[in-house]
Amino acid sequence: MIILGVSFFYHDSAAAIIKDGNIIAAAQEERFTRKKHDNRFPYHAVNYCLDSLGIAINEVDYIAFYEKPIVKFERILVQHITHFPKSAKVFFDTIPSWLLEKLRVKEIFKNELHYHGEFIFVPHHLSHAAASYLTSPYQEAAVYTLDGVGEWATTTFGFAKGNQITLEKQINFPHSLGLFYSAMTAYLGFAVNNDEYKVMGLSAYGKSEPLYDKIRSLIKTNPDGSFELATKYFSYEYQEKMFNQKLCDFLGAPARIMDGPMTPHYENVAAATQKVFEDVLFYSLNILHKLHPSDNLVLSGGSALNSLANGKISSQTPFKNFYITPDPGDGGGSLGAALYAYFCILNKNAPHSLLPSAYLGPGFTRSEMKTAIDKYQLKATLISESDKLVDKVSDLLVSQKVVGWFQGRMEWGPRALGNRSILAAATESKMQDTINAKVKHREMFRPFAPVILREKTHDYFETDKNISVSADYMLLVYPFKKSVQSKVPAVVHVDGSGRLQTIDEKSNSLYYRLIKAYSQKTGVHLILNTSFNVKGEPIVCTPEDAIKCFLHTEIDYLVLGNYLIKK
Amino acid sequence: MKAVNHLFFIYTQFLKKVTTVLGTFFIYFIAIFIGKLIYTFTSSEKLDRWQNFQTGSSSSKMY
Repeated sequence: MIILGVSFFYHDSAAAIIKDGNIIAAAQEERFTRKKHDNRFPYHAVNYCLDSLGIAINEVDYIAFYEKPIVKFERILVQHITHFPKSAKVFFDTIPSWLLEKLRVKEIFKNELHYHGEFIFVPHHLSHAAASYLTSPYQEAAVYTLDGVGEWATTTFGFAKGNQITLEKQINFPHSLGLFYSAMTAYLGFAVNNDEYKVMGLSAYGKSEPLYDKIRSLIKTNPDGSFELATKYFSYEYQEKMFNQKLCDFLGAPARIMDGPMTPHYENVAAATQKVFEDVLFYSLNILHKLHPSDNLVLSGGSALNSLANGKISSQTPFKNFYITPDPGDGGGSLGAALYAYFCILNKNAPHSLLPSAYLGPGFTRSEMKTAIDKYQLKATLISESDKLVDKVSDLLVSQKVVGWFQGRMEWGPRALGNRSILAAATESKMQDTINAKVKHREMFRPFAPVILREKTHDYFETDKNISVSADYMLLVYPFKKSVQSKVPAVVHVDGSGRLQTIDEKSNSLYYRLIKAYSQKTGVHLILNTSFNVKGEPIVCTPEDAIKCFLHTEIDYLVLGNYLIKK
Repeated sequence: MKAVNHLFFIYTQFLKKVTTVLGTFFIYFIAIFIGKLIYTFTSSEKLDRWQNFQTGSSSSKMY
């Protein structure tokens, strides 16, 4: 049985395909179209999924869509009615796309792809829950999902056992921890649904104390673990703008303009916002544990990308283990919907499978790479033996070179995990400035992340005893041990933390062996890993994307499969 | 006489269009008004606490 999961028309369109319950392929549309957070119908991602099985669309048994569009439309109507006339502009701006596209999911598949099979529509937060639980190593777990908003729900909790996921309760829009964080992101002059991670990075520079009480008062927590937002400060119910003048007056300063000066006030707002987010989340998770006292927690939804909060789950809640899927956001909903359809609706007795790896995107043959190299008339050295390749590239890293590393299948989810990465040594602090000047051109307050041999993690980080497998997906931040911070300054954030990726030989052999070779030469068991892209563009997908990025930046070397290309 | 008839025809077409626009807005405002009334009388349950999770209709439905 083949099921194609899809998510589109909000942000991060994506497609995923499973066959007899096994995950075959998954990818975000943005990687193909080169438009960040592309929300259009995912033609390219769907075609990639079909090609990976060598099938046509009508050989798919079911298409699983990641939410219930009519229920979402009901919310849009109710929002408009309750906030009329303030809501009129947004309503009339969005209504054409609802009538022409968003409510015509079936017709679009029929008209554009000539698909005549069955559809399954999975509620938004069940798609999120399934994306994490049905790829987790657990057979039972407490489940918590939180994001901006789905149909009505912004937050849900429940319990999963075997193939049954039971979401019991939900908090409805407009009370949303995700939208609270996004509104504060907008207040800080960053882009909503894109720059929330900048707030995380910025928070380390500020102090939460001066503004904590004020910002905490924006969210009231109830004894049952639910929460309410002081909605009078926010305008996302009826405007494109996320907050209103009352919030600026309340915080005592106007909102920061985009790319405007960064002052201590905004740093403190970021710090307090992050702390409030964590405190409300942990309060809610502690009550969830009382209701469902499992050792295991699965977390999902876009807000589960808050890696600072994720790194504190074990210390701040009674859960001994937790798991977050590589793409817990809306893109990951496509995979969640497909898995839910197969394991929870159609084949309830089949044991759910683990995620085979986070590398579910397109891969390319040596001849395809050679074709791209020839097209750009580059001089490349073929190093066929992987041991020699690893030895050569580790030498380059030792000599402080910046290396574009393009291997195997593209990563699933927002992080570059060693197949579409830019790598460098972390032993000199100036490497941050070097990469920023040569490639990334991003804000100084944003840290670079380390990738570390899994077995050495406890030597470098103050981590939990059982490190979640989600550390392999770069979803957790832990403090560096004080004793090692001076050894790897390029990846130590201002507060002494690092958003690490752990790596073992089983999950990505070549990548592991590269870092191992580097560690044998230097005694340092981690390197710097940042995504292979420039500011404002999606991570590279094809060899040609990688070559273009290489040529338009000052990356010193490009490794394309077994080809080594010098600038 | 023909010219008068023609002017009258244009006038009625114009009235038709104005009536259509006004009628559409009238229906829209009536719908908003009725919607607000319905919403006011049916949303007695507090929306800011945990609600029962809504699974929606059957899995083949968009609602």
